[in-house]
Amino acid sequence: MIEIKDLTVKYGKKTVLDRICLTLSDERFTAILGKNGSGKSTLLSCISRQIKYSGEIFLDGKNIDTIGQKEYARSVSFLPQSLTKPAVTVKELTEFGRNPYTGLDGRLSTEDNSIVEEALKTTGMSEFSQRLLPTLSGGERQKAYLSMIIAQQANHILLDEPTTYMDICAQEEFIELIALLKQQKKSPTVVMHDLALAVKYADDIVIVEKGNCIFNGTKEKCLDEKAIEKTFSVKRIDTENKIFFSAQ
Amino acid sequence: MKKRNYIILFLALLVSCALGIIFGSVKIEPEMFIKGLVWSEDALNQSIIIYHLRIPRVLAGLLAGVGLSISGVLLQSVTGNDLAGPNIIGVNAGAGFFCILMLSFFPTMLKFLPIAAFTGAFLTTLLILLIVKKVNSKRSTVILAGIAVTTLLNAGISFLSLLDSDVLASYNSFSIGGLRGAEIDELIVPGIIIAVCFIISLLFSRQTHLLCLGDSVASSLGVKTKTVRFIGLICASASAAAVVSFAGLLGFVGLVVPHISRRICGSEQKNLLITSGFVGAILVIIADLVGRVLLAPTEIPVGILMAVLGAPFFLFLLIRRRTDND
Repeated sequence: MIEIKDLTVKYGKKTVLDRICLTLSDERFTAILGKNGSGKSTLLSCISRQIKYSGEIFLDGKNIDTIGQKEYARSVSFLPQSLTKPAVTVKELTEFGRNPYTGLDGRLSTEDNSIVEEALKTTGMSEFSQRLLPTLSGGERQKAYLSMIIAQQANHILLDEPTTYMDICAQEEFIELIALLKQQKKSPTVVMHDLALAVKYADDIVIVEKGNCIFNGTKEKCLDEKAIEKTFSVKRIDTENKIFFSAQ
Repeated sequence: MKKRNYIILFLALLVSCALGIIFGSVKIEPEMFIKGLVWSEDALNQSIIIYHLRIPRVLAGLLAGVGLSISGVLLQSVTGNDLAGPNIIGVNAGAGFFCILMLSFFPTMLKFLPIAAFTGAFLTTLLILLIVKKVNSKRSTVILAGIAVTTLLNAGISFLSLLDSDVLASYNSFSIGGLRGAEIDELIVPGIIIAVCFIISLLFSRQTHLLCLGDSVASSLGVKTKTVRFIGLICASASAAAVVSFAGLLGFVGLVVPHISRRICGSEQKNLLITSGFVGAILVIIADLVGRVLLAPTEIPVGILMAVLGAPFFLFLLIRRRTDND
């Protein structure tokens, strides 16, 4: 479980996150929603220790500042919004996910290799394993990175807008894959823009607005309180057991 | 990377070393060459040429190739920019400026030249990184900052050279870069520095390789990005500076060699470091040999030949990058 207490981030005089308090529960899919510039990505960057902040973040009761780099990488994995496309194969990229478990030379054990193979199977990227990242489409590349994250075997998986470069079908397929990770007792936390996909797959919703956390709770509670409608000024449409949102 | 490739590279290196020792501006007949090798009394001149001129020169070429190639691979990895190289981003000019500073104010303290070169190279690298951090982290910023700093340092070098005609004379050959007059004694300290940098680079190769994913992803995989980058920069500066101390401002090796090596072995850092070491050594030894024999007895400094090869290669990379981006 990740607990965040009074998390504040300032860039110069501008307060990007203002005393945020929230909890990310284990084995739950949490969607972080909010308008552009609301502070969603900054929130993930803090949890993944990419930027400096004031306040406290606890991982299973332990302040994350006191946890070593590799130890933390075994518990929390992170994919930022923009990813590089170095000239490495999909398999090599997936093997990078084992870095927190290997020595300085990065030599993989038999167990590491089977975890890598399994991760490639999970994302359906086995047949692409020898392809170089620059030769893949945007969606395939995201899946390759997801293979790496799965191989990392961290319980908390933080993803910042992972479906940005995908078409609608690929987006849903990708989010479905992430939701399936709960079966492996993982806790994905994903910054999302697609509200319909968020309410379809997420268990919990966090809504950030102007640096403040204005909602943190279950999806059902979020829908009951009309938190999404109020924040995004959208109209909810319920049809055939599906929920959509459209501009008012 | 297959062992076979390493064996081929090793054999190619041996052949280049042999060619570098056998051929030169003075032609030695095979019989006299063999006599010279064994210090026969009737071939003393040949012995002196082989043992005091050619072997030190080939060793200097080997060290220069390895040192600059390691520096290039490391700089390209830690800056995330495949156009980075010790002379493109100002490391060579920094080392050169401090060497000239040393020659101007402490002309007798030649033993400290490698330290001066290292200090200059390292401070320049830090300055470039500071500028990049202040401006933005775009790849092109590293190159532009490098050009600006190099221009400034070159102006400083020219100014100091103008003040003292002796310094100007030594600077002229220094700035072109060459292996003429290399002596075994003055290769020992740079050789140790390059060997240590090479070993450290190999130890951290996996962690350095992960920097290609960007700092955010690398650190979330457990890499101490700042530490790895700092170690990489120290090794890159030190090995380039070690080369500057005996070969002057030898350009383009650090830029060109990693690209050639990637075509041979891919981008995995450990393979790339080892392959670049071989390729760099072979390239400099052969370029120096060509420079010695092409217009013999006049010598073309290896720095000029490397510039002739390297500058078009740099332009080729720029054009290819533009095509890739389009």
